[in-house]
Amino acid sequence: MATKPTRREVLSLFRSLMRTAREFTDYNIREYTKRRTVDAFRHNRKLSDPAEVAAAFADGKSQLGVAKRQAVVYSLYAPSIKSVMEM
Amino acid sequence: MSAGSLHYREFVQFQLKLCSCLFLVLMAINEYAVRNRMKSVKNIQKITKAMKMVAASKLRAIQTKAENSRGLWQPFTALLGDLPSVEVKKNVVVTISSDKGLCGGINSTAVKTSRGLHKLNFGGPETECKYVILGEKAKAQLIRDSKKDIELSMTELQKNPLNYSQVAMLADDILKNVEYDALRIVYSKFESVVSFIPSVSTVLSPEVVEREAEAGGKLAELDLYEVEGGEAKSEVLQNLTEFQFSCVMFNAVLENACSEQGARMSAMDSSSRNAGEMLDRLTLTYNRFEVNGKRLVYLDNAATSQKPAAVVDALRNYYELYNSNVHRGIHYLSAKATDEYELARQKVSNFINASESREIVFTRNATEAINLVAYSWGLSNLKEGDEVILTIAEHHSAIVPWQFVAQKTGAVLKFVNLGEDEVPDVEKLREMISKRAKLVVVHHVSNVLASVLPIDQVVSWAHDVGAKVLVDACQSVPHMVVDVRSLDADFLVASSHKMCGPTGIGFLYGKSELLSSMPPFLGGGEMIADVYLDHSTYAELPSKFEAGTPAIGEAIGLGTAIDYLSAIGMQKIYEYEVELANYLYDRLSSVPSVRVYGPKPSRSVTRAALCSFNVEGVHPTDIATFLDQQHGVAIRSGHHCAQPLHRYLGVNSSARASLHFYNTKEDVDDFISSLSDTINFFASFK
Repeated sequence: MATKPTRREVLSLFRSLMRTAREFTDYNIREYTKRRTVDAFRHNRKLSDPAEVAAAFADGKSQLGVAKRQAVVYSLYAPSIKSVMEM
Repeated sequence: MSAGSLHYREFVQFQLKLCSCLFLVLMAINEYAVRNRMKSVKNIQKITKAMKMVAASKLRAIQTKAENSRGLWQPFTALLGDLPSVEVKKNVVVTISSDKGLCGGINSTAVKTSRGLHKLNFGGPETECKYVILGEKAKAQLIRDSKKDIELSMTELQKNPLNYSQVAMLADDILKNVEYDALRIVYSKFESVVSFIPSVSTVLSPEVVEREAEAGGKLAELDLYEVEGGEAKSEVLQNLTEFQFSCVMFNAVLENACSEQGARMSAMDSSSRNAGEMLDRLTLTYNRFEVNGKRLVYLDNAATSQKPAAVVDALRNYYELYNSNVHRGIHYLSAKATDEYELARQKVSNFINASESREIVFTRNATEAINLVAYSWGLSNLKEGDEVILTIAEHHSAIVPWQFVAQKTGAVLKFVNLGEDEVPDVEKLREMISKRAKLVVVHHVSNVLASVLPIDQVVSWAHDVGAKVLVDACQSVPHMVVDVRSLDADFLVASSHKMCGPTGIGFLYGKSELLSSMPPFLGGGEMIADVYLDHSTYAELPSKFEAGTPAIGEAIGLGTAIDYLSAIGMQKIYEYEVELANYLYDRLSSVPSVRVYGPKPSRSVTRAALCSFNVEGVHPTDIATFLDQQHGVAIRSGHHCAQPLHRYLGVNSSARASLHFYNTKEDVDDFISSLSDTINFFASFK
């Protein structure tokens, strides 16, 4: 049973997710990661039960892990042509 | 293997999450797509304009010919008449149209008229009606539904310029191959450049003419003519009608060609106009610039301002039209560039009300100007024990050069702290100005606190003890009227990029006797008079301090920016910004958990239109990032080049929103609502 994360940890998770989003070479996934993070944090803001908060935090941490690994995998196969949204 | 499959599973999960959220994506108007569309519409507009010109010139060529050819068939009409109502059995409709398209609706009108004529029953059920078609367009339209009725069709008439022999051959062709009682020629008669009437001319066959003449009626008078020579009346009539046909055809073809060109002219003109309207609409969309899918709200004007189109045009004009080095050449381009450059200097001088333009020295920016004063005046006028008075709210560029000078000369830097209303303590400053003070370095408007210092009082105190005053006017010159003579400042620095001018240029104002006594700062070309191997003599002001090729285009851009601001009126700008500043301060301080730095605005205290603030529990960088990415609001976070001030206030960094005269209350409202949303978001991280 995980303990409730402190405010610092939550903030740190948010910032890490945004920084990991920057590393994606694909414009769509980058924007998606940023959007999804903000939406998820907004959605979970009202949670008060410590167990729920801890569960959401753990979920966020695992997603951070996924994002970090996927950033590396995607960069291996980065297309040379930039998306039109980035011009 | 297992690691690979783990990756794959995560990959798929990630992709699924992506797809599920992708339909929620709001496609922002991509400025790239709009820019492309604008380029293509502009090209189309160029093409249609060119086509209009070509059509106009072709029209001029044929118009006289067409009008002259009208005289050809008029005697025939007088003699043989134009009688469309005569009942005949075999009708032939000769439709004249153009080969090329894009000529308005004249071809469709001609085809419509031909079809109408075809449907009309000319007396009795045994009548038949055939088509003879001239021109590709009518052929294309009529071949669809009336293929069996088309007797003959000819295209590519206008390959060579139209002349009578060509038309005569055509007429011959038609007369030989087509059986007819009446020929009805459909063409667009050229009334004027904008009006083309579909007309029908009827030519009757000789037998019908004879029949009509005998029957009486309109052609009865024909009998009155005596026929001379050996030919019979019918032969003469045949020749006459054939000739009539060819003349009418000639005229009809010419009229149609004129109408074609005229119609093309108006069609191309209206499409150029449509393209122009489309471009206007696209430019409007493009200018409502979007950042991250939201309308951009630019609140970082204390860092740099946005430039009006006039300034960008001035820069481009310089580089395109009269790019040349100044003060060095005799030729026209150089003379023009020099004139514009010196005119810009004069404009700056007028803007701050200096007594003459040679008191203005162009530098790269205000920082370089302060360094100029430090290295040139400071190193030669300060000695051990002399004091330089500064405030802790100065910009780094007003502190660090004096630290160098202090190290080199042994002078002492003394700093004035803030008073209780978070403004540099003016009374303390007065006390500090003693006999030992040689220089007072003060900002006019603080870029963090938004406070305005009473420069005229500071200058009078300093001059009482014989000290000089350097005024850092970077945040004041763009926003209010600055008069160096009424302030009586010894030195004043400002940068162009904060006052709607280009980056890369700033200026130093110095009293001429002061600047003349200072040794040069940078050495090189332009600032010398004579150069020998072991020594050189220096040029007069202001060239003495402007070594090397200056930023000519940028100086001219600064001149244009000054014209732009003066046209609006600095007093008006100041009054508007005071209003905006109060509005921003009121709204910002009403947001809970926001702490604004600087004095509170009141009847005696005016703030500049900027607010540095901190939010309890949220880092300013987080605020700025969130505002930028989620709301398209651009503010600045950091120490704003005022670390000593932040240390005094007890913070590492702050966020700052700064306005200029082109910001509106709507921008402030946007900013406040976005800020509230940001604070709510981060506050939920409990």
